[in-house]
Amino acid sequence: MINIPVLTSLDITDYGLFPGNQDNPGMHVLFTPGLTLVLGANGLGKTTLITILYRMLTGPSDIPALAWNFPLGSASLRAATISSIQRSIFSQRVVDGAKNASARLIAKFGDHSVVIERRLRDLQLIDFQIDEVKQSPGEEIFQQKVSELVGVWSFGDWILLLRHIVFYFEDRRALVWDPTAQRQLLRFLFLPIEVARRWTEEERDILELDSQMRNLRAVVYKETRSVAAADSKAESAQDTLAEMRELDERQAADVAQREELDEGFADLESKRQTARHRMLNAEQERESRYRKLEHARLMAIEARFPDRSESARYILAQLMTSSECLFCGSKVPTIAAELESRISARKCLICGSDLAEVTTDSDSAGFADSQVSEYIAALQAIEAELVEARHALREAEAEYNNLIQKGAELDKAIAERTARLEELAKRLPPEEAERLKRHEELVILRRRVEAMQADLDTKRGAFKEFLQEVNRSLIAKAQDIQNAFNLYAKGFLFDDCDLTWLPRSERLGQSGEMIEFPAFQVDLGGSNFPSPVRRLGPQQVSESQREFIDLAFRMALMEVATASGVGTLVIDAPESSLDAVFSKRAAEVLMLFAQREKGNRLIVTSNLSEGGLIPDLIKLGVSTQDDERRIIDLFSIAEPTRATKEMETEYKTALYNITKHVGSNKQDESESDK
Amino acid sequence: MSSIDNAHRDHYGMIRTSIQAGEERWASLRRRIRLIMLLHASESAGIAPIGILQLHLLAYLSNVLSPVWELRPLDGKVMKRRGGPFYPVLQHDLDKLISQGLVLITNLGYKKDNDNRWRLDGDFYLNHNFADPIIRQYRNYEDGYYLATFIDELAYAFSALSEEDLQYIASEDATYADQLTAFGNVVDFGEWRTLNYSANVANYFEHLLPSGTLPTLGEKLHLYARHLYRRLYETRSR
Repeated sequence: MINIPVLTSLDITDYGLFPGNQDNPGMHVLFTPGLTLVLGANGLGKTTLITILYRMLTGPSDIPALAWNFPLGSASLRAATISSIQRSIFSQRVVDGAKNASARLIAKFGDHSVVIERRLRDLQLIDFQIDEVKQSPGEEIFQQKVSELVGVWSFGDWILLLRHIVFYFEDRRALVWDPTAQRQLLRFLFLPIEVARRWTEEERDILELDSQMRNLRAVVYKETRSVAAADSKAESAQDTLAEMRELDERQAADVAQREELDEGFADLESKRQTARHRMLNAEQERESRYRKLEHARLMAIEARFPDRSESARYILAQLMTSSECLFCGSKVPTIAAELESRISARKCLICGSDLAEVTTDSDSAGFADSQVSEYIAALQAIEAELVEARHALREAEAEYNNLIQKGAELDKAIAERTARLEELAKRLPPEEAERLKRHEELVILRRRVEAMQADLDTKRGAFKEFLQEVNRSLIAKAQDIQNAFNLYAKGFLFDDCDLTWLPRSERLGQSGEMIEFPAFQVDLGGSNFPSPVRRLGPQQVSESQREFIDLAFRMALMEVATASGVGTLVIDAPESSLDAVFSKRAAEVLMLFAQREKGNRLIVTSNLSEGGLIPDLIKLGVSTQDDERRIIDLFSIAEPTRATKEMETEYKTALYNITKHVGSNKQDESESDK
Repeated sequence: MSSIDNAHRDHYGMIRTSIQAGEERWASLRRRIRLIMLLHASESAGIAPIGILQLHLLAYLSNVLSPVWELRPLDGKVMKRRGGPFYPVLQHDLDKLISQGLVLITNLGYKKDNDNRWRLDGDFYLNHNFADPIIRQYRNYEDGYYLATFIDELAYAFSALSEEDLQYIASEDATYADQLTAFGNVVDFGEWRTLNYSANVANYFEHLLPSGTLPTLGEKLHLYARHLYRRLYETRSR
C-alpha cells in the first residue's frame, strides 16, 4: 500500500505575486478535510499557486517526457533535474526575482507529518522535517525519504503519482486512455516495492537492448548499401559482385519494409481484438433483444393459441420475430405481417378462425402488444450494429492476415538472401581481399544483430512470464477499483459506463512478441450505440465525459491504493466543458470524494468563468461558518493585474455571483453544525 | 457474373457474397451436426432433455477439451458471461433444428440472466424420427465416428454432475474462469491463441497416475470433470 500526501497547510512569504494585505501579509492556506476553492481572474496566479504546491513536493526534478507532455511510451521514468529556466519559473513572474520568497508546505504521509520549505527563487530546500525531526539537507536525501514515506522505490514513481493521481493540471492527459501511463501507475500503486522495481529495471534493460539492436541494424543497413556501391565499381569478379550488389540492395529494401511492418503490427492487433470484442458483444446483445421481442410475441400468441404445442408456438414466434422461415431459411415478411394481423384481429394463427369466443389472458396479450414496436426498434438497432461489427471484424482480420503473410514472405526472402550473400562472398577471388574482408565484416555484423535479437527474445520471454504473474496479482485489486469507479462514474454519467479489466497486448520496444500489460478500458453507452461500446481514446467520448471519467478513475485508484484511503486531489480549472446539468452532477461526484468525514482534500481552482460547477461546489462544500477558510480569494491576496484594476466592479460582481451560494445548502449546513 | 452479383442478405440482413454465404452455410451445418451430437450424447448419458445453459456449456466443453482428443475446436473463442458460456450463433442453429423438426423444446420460457440480458429458457431433446438418419450417416464416416465418440465420452463424464452443478461448473474451468479475462471480454483458447489451460490440465492427469498406467482419452475427460466437481465443492464449502 502506498501513502498519498494529505496536504495540511501552505504558507508563502515575501513573494510579489501574493503580497496579501497589511493585516495578513503573504498567503496562508489551511487545507481542511473537504473542499478548498481558489478563486481568481486570469493572471492572478491560480496556476502558479498549484505549481508551487507541485514543486514543493517534487523539488527541482521531473520526468522529462512528462514535463514536455510527451506520451510515456518507452520513455525513461527516471527523475532528472530540471533546467535552470524551469527552476526559475516563480522568480520570472516577479520583479525582485523572488529573492527572499519562500513557501512552506505541511502534509501528512500516512501517520507521518512532513514539513517542506523551499526558496521560490530556485526551489532549493530550506527545511525538511519528518515528524518534527530535521532531516539532512539536500535533494538526494529528500528524494530518498519521500520515496520511503510514499512507499515507492524511485522518485520517478513519486512524480508519476503526483502527475497522474494528485494533480489534475490544465494541460492534463487522461490517464484512463493512456495505457502506457496507466500500467506504470498500476505497477507502483498495487505491487510490492521489489516487484515494482524489478518491472522497471527489466523493462528498461529490454528497451535499451532493443534500441542498441536497432542502431546496429541501421549500421548494417548503411554498410550493406556502401558495400553494394563499392562492389559496383569493382573490375574483377563482375558477375559475382553484380549479383551481390543486387542482392544487397534488395536486402536493404526488404529489411526496411520489415521494420515498417513491425511498427504497424501492434495497431492492427489491437484493431482486430477490438473488432472481435465488438462483434461478440453485439451478438450477445442481439440475442438478448431478439429473445425479449420473441417473448413479447409469444405472450401475444399464447393468449390466443388454442393448441398447447410449445414447439409450434415457438416456431411461430420466431417467424414473427425475424420474418424468417426457420424451416427453409426464406425471408417471409408478408407471412409475418399476416400472422401479426391475425393476432390483432383475434383470429387463430393457423387457420384464421375467429377466436373472439375463446377465453384469453387479455391483460398479458395487451401488454405484450404494446411493447412489441419498442422491442422491434431495439432489435433493428442492434442488428445494424451487428452487421457493422461483423464487417469491421472481417476487414480487421483481412488486414492483419495480410500483414502477417507479408512479414513471413519478407523473413523468408531475407533469410535466403543472407545465405546466398555469404556463399557469394566466399567465391570472391584473392585479388578482391579487401572487398572480401568488408563482406566478412558485414557477415559478422549481421550475426551480432541476430545474437542481440536472440538475447532480446529471451529477455522478452522472461519478462512476459513475469508480467503474467503480475497481472494475476493485480486482478485481485481490479474488482475494488471497478466498484470505486462505478460509484463515482455512475453519479456523473447518464449513459451506462463500465471499467473493464483488459490487459493490453503491446510490444516492448519496436519488435518482438506481444506482451500483455495490465490495463483498464472504458465501455460506455451513448445515444448512437445500442449497448455499451469500448471507447479506446478520449476522442471517442464527449469533452465533459472525458474529464470526469478520468477523474472517476483517479479517485478510484486513490481510494483503493492508499493505506489510509485518504488523499489529495488538486484540479486546475475543471469547469470548461460542462453544461448546466452535468455541472450539478460533477459537483456532487467531486463532493462525494471530498466528504469531510472521509478526510480527503479537494483543491479546485477557478477563474470565475461561466458555468454551474463552482456555484454547485460552493453550495455543497462551503458553509457560512468556514467560507473564509475554504475559499482562497486571490482578488484580496494576489497582486492585481491591469484587468482586475480597471474592471474591478465587474470582477467583484462575478465573484459575488459565485460566492453568494455559500451556505445555500441549508440541510448540509445544519448537519455540519451538529 | 461476379460474386457480388450473387450476393444475398443473411439472417442479420448482412450482404454476403456467394463465397461467404457458402462458407457460412457449411459452418452452420457443422454447428447443427455438433448440436445433434450433443443432444444425442446427453440422451445416452441420461441428462436429456437438457437445459439450454447446460447444452451451451457442453458445447463449450466440446470446444475447449477437443485438443485432448487431438481435435480442433469448432469455435476457439467465447464471450465470458457471468451466467456461463452462451453462443448466440449456435442458438440460432438450434432454432433452425427446432423448425426443421429435428429438435423439440419443452418448458419454454424467457429469463433475464446475470448479465442483465434476456435469453431463452427451455429443455431440448431430439426428435428421433428425423434426427436418427443424420446421426447414423455421420457416424458412418471415420472422423464423424471419432468426433461422436468424443462427444459421447464428454457427456458421460459430465453427466455425473447435477443440473445445478453443471450450471456453475464453468466458474471452475481453468480457461473460462481464468481471472486474467474479465467478464464481458473474450476467452480465446483456439482462435488467435493456443493457450488452453483446460486441455493442459486434462492432459496433465497422465503424470499423476501411478507409473506404468496411462489414462485413456476418455478417462482424461472423466478425470477433468471430477476435478471440476471437486473444485466446485471446495468453493461452496468455503
